[in-house]
Amino acid sequence: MKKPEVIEEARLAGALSALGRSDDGPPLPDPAAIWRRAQLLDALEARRRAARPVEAAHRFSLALTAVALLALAGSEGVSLLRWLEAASGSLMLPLTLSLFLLGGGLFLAAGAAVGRNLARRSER
Amino acid sequence: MTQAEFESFYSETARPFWTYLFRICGDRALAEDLIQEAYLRFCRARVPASRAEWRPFLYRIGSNLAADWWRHSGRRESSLPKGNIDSPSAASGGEDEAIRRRELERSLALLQPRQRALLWLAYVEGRTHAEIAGTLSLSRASVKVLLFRARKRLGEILERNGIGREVLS
Repeated sequence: MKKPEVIEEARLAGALSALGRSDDGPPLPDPAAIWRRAQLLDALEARRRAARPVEAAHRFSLALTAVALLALAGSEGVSLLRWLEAASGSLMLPLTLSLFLLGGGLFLAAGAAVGRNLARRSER
Repeated sequence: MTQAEFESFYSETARPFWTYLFRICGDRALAEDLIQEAYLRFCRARVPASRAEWRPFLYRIGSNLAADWWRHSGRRESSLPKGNIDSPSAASGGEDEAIRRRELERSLALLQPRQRALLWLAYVEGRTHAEIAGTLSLSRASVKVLLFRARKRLGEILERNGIGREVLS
């Protein structure tokens, strides 16, 4: 079988160029729109970069608060139990427990809201 | 780079760049998407200081995008270019020419995208081996070898399809 030869460069260039000339192509996108979009994306990226340390500080402060509360509960736990025993006969105990639960719930809700907000912002 | 500089560069390069992308990926709609994305990345990137280097830089972005598309689409065999073969312009040069063009498109579609990119850059855009190497992230020595192989492969496809070199005349 005859082995095909390599195509001559000049013939190939002519044929391919003719093919290229036949490509009308669609209307091209507006360069001003591309430029504006690039500027917008750059601005968003810059804002995201600038917000990064603030977000990190948010997370850090939240973690620090949780650690502080745990440490406080640990150190004051014994005296708290003693106080609970003394106050068990009065109205003071349910009232204090309710306030404690309410405060804890609010703290957790605030933490969840901050976390959700941060996640949404980083998605954007 | 200012907006005016970008728009001037765009008006010089957009049409041939679209043709290049269309010939690599063989899909008109995809070429439109790729061209938008390539120019967007070009605007956002740190472009070379010398304006002469903008064009190779843009083509490198476009070639990488096309290569990513090719890798992720999982395609091994190319299809014929979509939406161009039977266009009025294709038939305007007479029936023989339209047939020749069609056969050449068919044969090109059977090459690998990188081979098509190589042939297009070398023989339509008239790029040097060094420029092609920069655009397609290859070494200069590889460009020479790969170009030779691409021409050989195209010749084989033309012969195999019984078309022969007449299609190039």
